[in-house]
Amino acid sequence: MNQSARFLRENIEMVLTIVIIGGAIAFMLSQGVRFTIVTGTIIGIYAILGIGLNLVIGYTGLLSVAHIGFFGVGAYTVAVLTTDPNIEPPKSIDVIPAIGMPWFAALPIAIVLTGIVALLAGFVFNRFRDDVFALTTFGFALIALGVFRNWLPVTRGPFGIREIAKPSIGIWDFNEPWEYLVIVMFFLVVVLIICWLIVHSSFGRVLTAIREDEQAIEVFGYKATYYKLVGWVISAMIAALAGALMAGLIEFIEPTSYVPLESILIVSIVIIGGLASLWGSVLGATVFVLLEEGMRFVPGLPVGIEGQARWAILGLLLIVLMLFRPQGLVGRYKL
Amino acid sequence: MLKHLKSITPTSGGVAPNGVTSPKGIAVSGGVAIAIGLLALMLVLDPDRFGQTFLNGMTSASIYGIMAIGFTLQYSTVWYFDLSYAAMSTTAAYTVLHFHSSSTRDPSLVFSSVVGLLIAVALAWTLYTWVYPRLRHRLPRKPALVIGGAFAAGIGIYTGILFANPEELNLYISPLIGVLAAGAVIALLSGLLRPRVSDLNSTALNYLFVLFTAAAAIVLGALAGWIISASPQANLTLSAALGIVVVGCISLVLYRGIFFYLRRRARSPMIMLVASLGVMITLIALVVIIFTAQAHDLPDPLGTDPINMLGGSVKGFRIFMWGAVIGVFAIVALLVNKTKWGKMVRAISDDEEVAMVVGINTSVVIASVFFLGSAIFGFSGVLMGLDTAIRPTMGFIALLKGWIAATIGGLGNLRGAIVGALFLGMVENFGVWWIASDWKDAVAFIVLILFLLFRPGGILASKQDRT
Repeated sequence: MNQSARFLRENIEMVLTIVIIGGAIAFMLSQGVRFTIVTGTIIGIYAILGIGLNLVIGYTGLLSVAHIGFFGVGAYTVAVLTTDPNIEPPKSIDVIPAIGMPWFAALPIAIVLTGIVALLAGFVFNRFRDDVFALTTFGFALIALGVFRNWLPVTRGPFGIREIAKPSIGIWDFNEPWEYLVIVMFFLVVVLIICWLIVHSSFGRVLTAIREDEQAIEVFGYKATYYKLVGWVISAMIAALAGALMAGLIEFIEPTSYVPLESILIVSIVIIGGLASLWGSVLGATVFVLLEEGMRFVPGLPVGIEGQARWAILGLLLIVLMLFRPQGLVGRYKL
Repeated sequence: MLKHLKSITPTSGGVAPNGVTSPKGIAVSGGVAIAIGLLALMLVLDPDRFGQTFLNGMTSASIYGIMAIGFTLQYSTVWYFDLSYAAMSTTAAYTVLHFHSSSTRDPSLVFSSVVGLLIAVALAWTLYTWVYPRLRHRLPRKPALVIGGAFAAGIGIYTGILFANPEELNLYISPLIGVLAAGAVIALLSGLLRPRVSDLNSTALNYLFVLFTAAAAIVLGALAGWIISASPQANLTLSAALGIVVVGCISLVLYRGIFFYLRRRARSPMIMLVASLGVMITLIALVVIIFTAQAHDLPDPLGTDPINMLGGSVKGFRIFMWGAVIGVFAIVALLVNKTKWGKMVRAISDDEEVAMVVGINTSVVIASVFFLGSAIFGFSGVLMGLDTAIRPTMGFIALLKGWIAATIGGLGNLRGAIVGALFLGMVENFGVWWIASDWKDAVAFIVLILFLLFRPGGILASKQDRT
């Protein structure tokens, strides 16, 4: 009894990982293969977003709530660039310029554009820390939402954009759900490798040092501002990639998907999964998505409150984590 | 205090000491000049709209002002940003909705019992940590605990009954008002008369005094209860008061149950921010589950006839709101600056550990700050709900605005909160003169960022804070 308790305590991260991944796979397969593929795709996208955000929150120690904005900028750029002129929009809404680029050509543009936006925003946000940083980045999310909602000639405002093209290479267009899963997993692996390299390079160690003590690392001659800025821009670009993938998956975007409150959900992916742990973000995304999907199957829950029940459970999870495990499920760093 | 201010101060410092000659100083003066020019242009272009915008700005400012006062009180005591207050203002507004006669849903037994339990726990804890230690030497332990527990449980059950019968609120609450009024009368009379009476040292006079006080208290209590239950606005006013008390109690329970422990362990303000975020989204989700996410309307307490002034028109209730913010400011300023409690709060604000060392019961004082702070937020939520409509997320943006107002006014400074709120309300409303009013929130955040960059100490920054 005592020994098993000690084993549990010492290997809690491994146990949590096995429980979550095993439970997730068992649950998804019990709902059928199609459900597994679709949910797996969404988990992959949120995992990419979470990994990118973890660079800022976990490794640099800045609680950013702006990433829903970058997510949205990426999604909207892809949406605007790939609008298919062959699909007729409903008569009631305005026509926006149809460019009709292929998805894979729009993706780098979206990423670079988001990087530029992040660079400009980063010049301002770099000066703040802690809770002031968190709340000012929330302001960025609000402004981004304002642009999505009010820049009618480009984003069509509240009506959203429906004519987003699916990714395709040559004659291979990724119409089947499993093909999309393959793309998302490919990008997930790429992002994991890139972030692993970043984190384990000297650059990543400087970021960690900034989190621990910014003034000390400045004494050693590192310009903390530049490092923070670069980490921030990379993270925003990864968020744009996730946004582009999301736009390609659901083929329809509207501003309500990018309300700043949604940002809190993304932050909770990182915090629940684990700060300064790339693998933790994947776990966090799994928990997060399955919480949403799983709520529909909870017996006895009245119809129509699944979404709210998920919010309530996420909130309770955050409180409990802050009380007993501030580093998240498998994190390395306590907030 | 400086330790905390560091986090909002940019590395390159605030306003340069030599003022106007520095590039930053020129930028600031140029910005002010342009702003004044634009205002003058607006006034010339359309004086009536200018007046209307001014009135709207005053209304926004009054809500932000109340929020900013509550935020300043809480923040400058515990030095972390508590997002759960957003849920407090939402909850208070929804309490009013619950008691409003056209309430949307039948109150369930679970809901009422949860509210009752919450009140009972808050009251029991308050009695145990605040009242009991003072009486410990005079009362035997067990009977005191039993009586206190029974009292708390009784009040809890009573609150549960109140919540279970929302339409009969004034009927059920009038006895409580009566008892409170009677208690107040007794306290007042014994404070006024007792010393003179006991000088005479006569048993008969003492009896007479007790009898007289009791009779006066009962009569006045019954009268107060009767007046309140008969007046037409009773339901609205009483439910607002009840909502404010309830969110205060929720905040007490949250403090004692979560934040008290977190504050001992937390390494950074971030952990408190995230935990309070969890509290906020849980509470708001519960509110949505109970009352649905759509916007609800509350009746207009002072009628809908607009009052014309300055070329615009304004509802009577909004003028009441302007007064309310001054009232809240006066009460909080008096409490903080003139009472012993305020002295304790200021001591904790300066250094909590030292305050504890000199014998201040910091836990209780902070709990009372939480109660008062969330009551203020609840009040602002009720005002917002009565003024426009109530929706579950209304508290969050308003809390952020309150924080912005407090920051641009000068953090940790009550006057700064008011000045900042006035400034923010005006900037927000005049700032969208030429663009869609959807941009108000964005304008507020841009103003905040400009202030953090160019004048991090706020409008009313003291010299010490500017360094």
